[in-house]
Amino acid sequence: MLYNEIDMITFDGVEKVYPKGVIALKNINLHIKPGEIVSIVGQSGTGKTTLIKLLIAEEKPSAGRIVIGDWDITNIRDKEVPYLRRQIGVVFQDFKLLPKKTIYENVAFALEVVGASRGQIKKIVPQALKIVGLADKHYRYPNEISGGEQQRAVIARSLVHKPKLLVADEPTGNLDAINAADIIHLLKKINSFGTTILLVTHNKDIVNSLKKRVITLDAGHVVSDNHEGRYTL
Amino acid sequence: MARSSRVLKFAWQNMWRNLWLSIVTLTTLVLVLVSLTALFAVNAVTDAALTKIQSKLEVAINFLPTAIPQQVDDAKIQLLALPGLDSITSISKEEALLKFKERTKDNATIQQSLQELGDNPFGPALILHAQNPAGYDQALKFIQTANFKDIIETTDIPIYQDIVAKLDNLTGQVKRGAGIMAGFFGLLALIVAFNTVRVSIYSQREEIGIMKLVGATNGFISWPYVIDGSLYALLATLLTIGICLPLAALIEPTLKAFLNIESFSLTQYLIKNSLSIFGLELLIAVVINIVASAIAVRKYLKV
Repeated sequence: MLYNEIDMITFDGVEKVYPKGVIALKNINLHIKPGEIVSIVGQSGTGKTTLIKLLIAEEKPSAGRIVIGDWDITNIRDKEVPYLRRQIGVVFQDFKLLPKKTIYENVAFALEVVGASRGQIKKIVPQALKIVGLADKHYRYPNEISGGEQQRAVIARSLVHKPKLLVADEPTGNLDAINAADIIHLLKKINSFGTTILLVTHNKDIVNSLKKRVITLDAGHVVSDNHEGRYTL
Repeated sequence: MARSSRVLKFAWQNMWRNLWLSIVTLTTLVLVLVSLTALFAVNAVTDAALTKIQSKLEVAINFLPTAIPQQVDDAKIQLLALPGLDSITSISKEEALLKFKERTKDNATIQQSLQELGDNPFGPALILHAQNPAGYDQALKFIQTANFKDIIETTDIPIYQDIVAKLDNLTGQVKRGAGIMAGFFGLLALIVAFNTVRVSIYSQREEIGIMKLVGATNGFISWPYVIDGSLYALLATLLTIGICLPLAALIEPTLKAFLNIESFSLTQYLIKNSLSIFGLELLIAVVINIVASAIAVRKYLKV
């Protein structure tokens, strides 16, 4: 069992030092409960993206311990990484859709990698596309739809695994206000189904409108962690 | 089963949806394989031409004018028993004289000298044809101890051996030159093909990264590229056959006329050796593609 009922994410004294001694994160201690929606804020270069990279094992911590559910991923082996990523939905600022696949195929790909049957794919993908409002654009390629629609397709792709944790790294960074609001609405809807959401953002309005827990990073340290907090930078 | 069908599906999609990249990769591979086939063909034509030159050589044993036909016939029987000789043609004194007259008909001085001589100064001769130089060597050794050695006036064998030695030297040099050229162009072609495959995968590095982030395993990502590589190799080999055989048929009449080798057919040579030539080329193309793909994909899998 990957997830327990206590903490969804545990960062225990985590440090990340890049080559040439660049310190990205220092002594990070975090406990995020299942079903929470947490905003991580901070100026550029404060370690927000490094935090996400550690969660999806794109980077390994230099010190400390990271636990997702009851899986200690601190020293995760390379061959275990795909299995971790299949259990975490990730939404990126630059979408990261496969350009030579249609929207339907992009969403289906996340299921194909886990070996889902054709029947399951035919059932789940249209449902996910319907949730994000792209049911009628499933046959289009990423460059044939808007940025907001691409981001919704990414959310659909991250949802098909039914992850208990969804990590969104600046999901509204490339979107206008209306599309950004749509995406946040979608994330709240997903959160209402019980999925833990970790949102990394610069968008003050979004953080303030959420009225949820806000963790502020500065120079690789957690400088504030407030429940029902506001964007205070 | 589902995994295999998906790998095949992705391989096909990858090939089809990156059409221009596929065409460039395929074209490069075809050019490489056509070049390799051309090297094989040049080698075969060179061999055929040199064999033809060697087969055209003949060696004469000239007997003394006093030798009688019975002695010459006896010598012919003994020589025919040697395994290295293909055939022996007898030339009588009279035929030798006629041939000489024919050869020198434009030289008035020689014609006049012959008339002044009155008698036929030529003796009978035997013209030997051997399959290879060893046949002549064997004949020379035999003649030196044969019972008819005293009625021999001259023999061409030492001259022949000199020609053969020079020809062998030339053949060796031609083959070495062709080998160096084949090696150089072959290596060049392999480097070009190898890098084309790498560049083709380089252009898809971002997609490979995305697949990794979505949770695809290295095998799930790599296999379609391996399949693609093998498909490119197979298609390139088929296209090479489709180009080279008609091309060989087209140039064959010109080649035969130019080199005057009726017994050699380039098309037949390619067909007869298709398994070794095109089979080897297929193997080379598959190995290039798989190795280049594996190296390139591995590099971009580190996400």
